[in-house]
Amino acid sequence: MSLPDTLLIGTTDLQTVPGIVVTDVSGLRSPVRRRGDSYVVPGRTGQVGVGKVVDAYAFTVPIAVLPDDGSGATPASAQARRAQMLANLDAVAALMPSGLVTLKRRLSTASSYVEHVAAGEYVDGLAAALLNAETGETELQFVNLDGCWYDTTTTATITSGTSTVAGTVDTRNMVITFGGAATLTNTTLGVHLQVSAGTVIDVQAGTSSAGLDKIVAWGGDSQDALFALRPGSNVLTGSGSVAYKAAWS
Amino acid sequence: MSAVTAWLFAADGTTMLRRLDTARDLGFTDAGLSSEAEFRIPLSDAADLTAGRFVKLRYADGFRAGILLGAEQVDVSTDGRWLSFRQSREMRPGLLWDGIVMPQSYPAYGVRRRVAEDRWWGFMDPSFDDSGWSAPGSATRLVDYVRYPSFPQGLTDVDPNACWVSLSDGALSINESTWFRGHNINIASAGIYRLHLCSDDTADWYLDDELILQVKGDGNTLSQATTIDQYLAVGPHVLAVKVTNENGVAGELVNEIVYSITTLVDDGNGGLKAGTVVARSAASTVLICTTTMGEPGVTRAKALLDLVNEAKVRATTHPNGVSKLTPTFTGTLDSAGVAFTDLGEFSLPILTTRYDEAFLQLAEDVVDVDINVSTLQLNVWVRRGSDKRTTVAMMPASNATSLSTTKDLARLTHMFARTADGVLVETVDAAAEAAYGRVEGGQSVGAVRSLRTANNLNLAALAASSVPTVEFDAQPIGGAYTTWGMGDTVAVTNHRGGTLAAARVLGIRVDGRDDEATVTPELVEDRS
Repeated sequence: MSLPDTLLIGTTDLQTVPGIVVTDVSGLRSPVRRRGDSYVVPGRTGQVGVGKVVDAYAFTVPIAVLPDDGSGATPASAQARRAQMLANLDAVAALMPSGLVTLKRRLSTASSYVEHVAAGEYVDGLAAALLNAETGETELQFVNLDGCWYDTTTTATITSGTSTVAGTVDTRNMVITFGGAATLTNTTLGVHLQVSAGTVIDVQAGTSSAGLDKIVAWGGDSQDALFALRPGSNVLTGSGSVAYKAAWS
Repeated sequence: MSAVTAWLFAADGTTMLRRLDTARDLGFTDAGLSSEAEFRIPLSDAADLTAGRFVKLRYADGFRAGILLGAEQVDVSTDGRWLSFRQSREMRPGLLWDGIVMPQSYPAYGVRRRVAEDRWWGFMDPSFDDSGWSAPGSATRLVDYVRYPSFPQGLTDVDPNACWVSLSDGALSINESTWFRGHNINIASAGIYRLHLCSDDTADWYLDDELILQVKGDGNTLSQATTIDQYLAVGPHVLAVKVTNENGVAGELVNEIVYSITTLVDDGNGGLKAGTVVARSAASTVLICTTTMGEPGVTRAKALLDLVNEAKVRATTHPNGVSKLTPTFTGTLDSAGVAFTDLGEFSLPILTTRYDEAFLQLAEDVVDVDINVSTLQLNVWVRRGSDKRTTVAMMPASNATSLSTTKDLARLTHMFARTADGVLVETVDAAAEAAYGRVEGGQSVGAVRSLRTANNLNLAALAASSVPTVEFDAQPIGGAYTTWGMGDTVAVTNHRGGTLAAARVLGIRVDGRDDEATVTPELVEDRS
């Protein structure tokens, strides 16, 4: 049985490389990690918690490297099979960027799969161990720099009122469009963003199409983001439409 | 606990350009005028950090500190990979580095032919509001040349009147003073004029903002008329004088002045003599202020306002950072609408005093001065902040990771000061003496002649040391700029966890690292 769960390096599915079989996809579904420390107050039980954001984390994708060629055939001689296995490993190596890359994961749904993306970085894992003379295995190690996975396209556009936000992690990946001077408040999180004129604000990048000086005030987010949404029910007041990408663990 | 973030602003100080995501080691000390800020950024991301732009540091939903790039107070260094900025010298946020105290009434750069070395604010200032002063009324008379034998006679214009404070204004005591202001001195053509000045008895004479004569009287007798030749520019001038009675019969003491200003003409013998009278003392040209009306003076805020407004005028031809500030106070009301009470006289050396130094000197401990980094508003408060002891307490087992107090014993309960006249003034804090024993101290009060002033200086010294001092060192969790902020008075666990002491927040140090920040307030015992 073939399942769709896999990892794409840029736009290339690992499993389309000749002879590569992803043997474990559990790393694609790692729980998020958060950074920051709570505080110990003398005489006070426990610790004083502070708001934390998700942190980058490392995950691995174990693969087997078979001696199959692009057509699925296996060379006749043992040496040719060894050479094909090494060539397949080189093909994987060619996929691995030296710098940053967009990682895309596919996870099974009932009838298909969903895709999520994250900024990533390849770390290690091209030193294959031989299972036998012509078959290798290794663990490709990556870092999810975003700390979570985002929908590949805008998940939804929401405005004033009560909306159900998709995802499993708070998201700050959104573009907010203001038609004019307005204040948008997420009363669920207690964050607000006020602008003096129409503008399009990329919260994640911290940019404003009409200039950042159109931002009059913002606040309430524990990490000083311009705005934020929480998975589940969110109540927005004021004007402005929020096109967000849901964040997933 | 919010992170500290850095944002780049345009040269106007209010146009936000971008977020500096790569900035690291962000930190600042918010302490009113004496604030600091620092950060570093990769060289590869610093191309648009050009001179004249601002970097503002944001914490707890507000911009708390800033750095003017290229300013004199900002130290810049690099290790080849990072560019580090540190504004370590006083003055938030390095905005006022290019402002210099200029001579009075000269908003444009350029120095008049003769200027005083110091710039004065007080009743001798031509712009001083003397609307509360009174005219001499009937208390004038034509100058009596028998009474003023040395005063010039036979001039070609009207003789001056002697002006004195009426006994109905209240009998003066020895060493009390009266202030006179001469108006309507309008000079039509610039040149050298002769001032004839006479007083009863000790007097300080000022022309515009310059001290031109100090006369030491000897009691009941009039001082001799003094002539001073002075260059006067075209336009209005103010002759002000503070007269103090050194001796006499209490209850009958009055202060008295007479003056005239004349042209100078050839005396026919190769010299000069007094010519036409262009201004003279009279009921219509002199105003009087007595101690019963309150000592005249200006507020520090008025002086600050003058400096800022003058800098704004100069900015049309000589741009400066001060011109970007918007005062939120007036000469009489602070930024919260509270009336100032710090009337006095101030002076600053001109052409050498930077605005940051001037602001610090004028503010001292009397008023709280700060710049809103977000809006570039200049705020002055009689007292910043509010008493939050009922809602905010810093203590272990609650909200402070560390906290300590240090208590010192009373240092002085008796204070002595010797005036310029050699009189020893003793001031005692009886309550402190009863509680802590007699501890004597002395201080030099320089050229102060007034016994009352010396006593006031003694009281000020005792206020700072006659009770035990408590120092606090706290590391609270959260609350900065939200539940408590600059100037607020909060409760702090006192020595050994006993009672709660009142502590005022004089400064807030914030060190940002990633998405955490360490906040350390500077707390001083609040004795108000």
